[in-house]
Parts: sequence; C-alpha cells; structure tokens
Amino acid sequence: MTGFMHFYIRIIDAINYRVGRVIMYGIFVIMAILLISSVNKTFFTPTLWTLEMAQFALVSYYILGGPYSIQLGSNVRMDLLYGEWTIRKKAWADLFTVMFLIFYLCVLIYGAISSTAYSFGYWGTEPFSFFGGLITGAEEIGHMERSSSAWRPYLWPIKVVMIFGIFLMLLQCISELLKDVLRLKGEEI
Amino acid sequence: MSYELIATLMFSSMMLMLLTGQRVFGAIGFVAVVASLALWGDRGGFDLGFAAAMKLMKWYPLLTLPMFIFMGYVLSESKIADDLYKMFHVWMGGLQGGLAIGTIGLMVLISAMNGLSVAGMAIGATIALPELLKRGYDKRMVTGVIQAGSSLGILVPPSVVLVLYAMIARQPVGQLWLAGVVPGLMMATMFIIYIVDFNIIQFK
Repeated sequence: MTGFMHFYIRIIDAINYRVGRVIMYGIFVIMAILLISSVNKTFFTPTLWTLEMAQFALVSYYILGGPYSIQLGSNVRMDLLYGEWTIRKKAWADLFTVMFLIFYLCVLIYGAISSTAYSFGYWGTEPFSFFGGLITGAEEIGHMERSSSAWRPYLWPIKVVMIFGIFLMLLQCISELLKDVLRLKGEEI
Repeated sequence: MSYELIATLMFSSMMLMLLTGQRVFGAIGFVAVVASLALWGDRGGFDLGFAAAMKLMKWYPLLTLPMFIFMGYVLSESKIADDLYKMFHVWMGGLQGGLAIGTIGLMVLISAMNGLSVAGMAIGATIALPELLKRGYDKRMVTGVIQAGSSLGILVPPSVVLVLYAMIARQPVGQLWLAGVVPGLMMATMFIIYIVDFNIIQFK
C-alpha cells in the first residue's frame, strides 16, 4: 500500500509539475494578445477576437496552473490557528478538510462535463451517456454553443480545457491527501 | 428556509471552514456548492458551481490582475526594491527615526510602480523589517509603518482596486487614478509626521 502511495505521488506530482511549468509561460501569451489588441486599436481597425481570446488564455492559465500551485502549497490559507500547529496536527486537520475540497472539485467537474455536453448540443440530463453515445455513434453532435459576442467563438474548447484542469486538480488533491497519510505514518515527505 | 437563516448559516459555516486552515478557495467553494445542492436539488446545484466559473471568465477586469502581479514579482526578484531601500537608507539614515521615514518613502515609490497592497507588504516585510529591527526600532511602531505604508499601494496610481471599482461602477479609470494621487501623498506625509512625532516623544 505504501509503495503504491509513493508511486501515485511521484507520478502525479511529476505530471502536474511539468504542466504547471509549461503553462507558466501563458502570461506572455495573454500579454501578446492584449498588445496586438492595443496596436490594432490605435493604428488599424479594432479587432473583434482579442478580448475573448485573452479571456480564454487567462482561463487556461489559471485552471491549468491550479494543480501546480496546490503542489507548491502556495494557496492562501487562514493561518490564525493553523499556523501555530505542529506538522502532525496540520496533517490530521488536512486529512479531514481536504475531503471538502475533493467534494467541491467533484461537483465542479460534473458541472463542467454536463456544460460541455450542452455546448455540443445535448440538452438532456445524462451527459455521460451522451459522450458514450458519441463514441459508439448512437448520439450526434447537435447545435454547437457559441459565445454571444460579435466574434461568436465556439465554447467547447475552453470547457474541455477546464475539465482537464479541474481533473488534474482533483488528482493533485488526492496526492496531497496521500502525503498527509504518509506524514502521519512518520515519513518525511 | 428564510433568507436570513440561509445567509447566517452559510456565513458561519464558511468562517468555521476557514478556521480549520484548509485552502480558502476550497473552503468557500465547498460551502457554496453544498448550499446550492441543498437549495436547488441535484441538477441546478451541479450546474451552478461551474456556471460561476464561466461567469468569472467573462468578467474582463480580471485580465488586469496577472499583469500587476507579474510586475510586482519583477520588482522584487530583480532586486530593484533592495537598491531603492539602500538609497533611502543613505538619504535618511542621519535623521532621528530616519529609516522608518525611508520605509514610507520606499512604500510610496513601490505603490507608484505597482497596484497591489500585497506586493508592498511583501517587499516591506522581507527587506525593510529585518533592517529596522536590527537597528533597535520599536517593534510595534515598525510593523505599523510597514502595514500603513503598504496600504498606499491601492491609493497611489496605478491601482488594481480602482480598476475593478471603475469597471463595476462604470467610472473612468484615469480620473479615479488621478484622484488617488493627492490623498495618497497626503497620507504618506501624515505617516512621516507621525513617525517624527513618535520619535520625539519616545526619546525624551
């Protein structure tokens, strides 16, 4: 069991470290898009696509960077009581409260999947069977959801990115949970 | 369930969750998701959590935040702030309580370059605080100086909070920023007067 825990932690941390390190450069993508927007607005015709493209880049930036920041432990915590505790006591508290975080992420990921099914043109209540049906050919892609702006981009790519990011966050939270278990067993992480 | 009861219950459970020391986004998100599941049933509850994320995405003032944070990191990682502090040390070191006045000056400069109070606080706490304590300044006064100084960050332009306020209240950003200059500098002057005053009383 302990061997499996070490394996899981090593694999997930490695994946999320690399994803986070790559997506870190996303801020330059956002800057470039905003700069193109400013230049075009000042000298040429104002562009339609830049604002929404920058928003999509921003969402990918913070959703895919989320797992890495959980891994670094840089999320804001209220350390009024927490800051004074010993490592063992912190691990005990986190062992229980991380469950709340995992529950939240599970609800979020279900909402994301059903919203993605909606943007593929499925208006029912069974998103999983819809995606299963897409693979087997029982269901068809209906009216694709578009944003209501002048540029009218399709919304499914960003929703897929969000599902992927929330899923990675979920995996990283489980990794944090296992780290706390190992800490309570008396190991140094 | 009455609205007052819902609000009280959600707020108190949120405070309780925050006290356990879990990550703040997890604590607030959990309370919100459970409340929406309890109030709207399964489908509405599941969708509301994700709909909030999409709504945040469409709120375009959010685009300004990463830029300001990036700027703060550039200031602190490139050691420009250290050099600035050294400059103020040389200028003000001879005066009574000079380094505390220099810290306020540093904070004004940082605020004029960066729009978040947190950045000034971080720079003040890592660079100025150890130096001040080493020279035997009063601990209560020094922490007050850094906190008060860093609060100038959102008043002196550029300021993130005023951008967000301008977007919500539909007011021009430029005018709001200009309106922050005089109060910001006035507050800095008052802090300096207080520090001089405090030192005169203390050393009598």
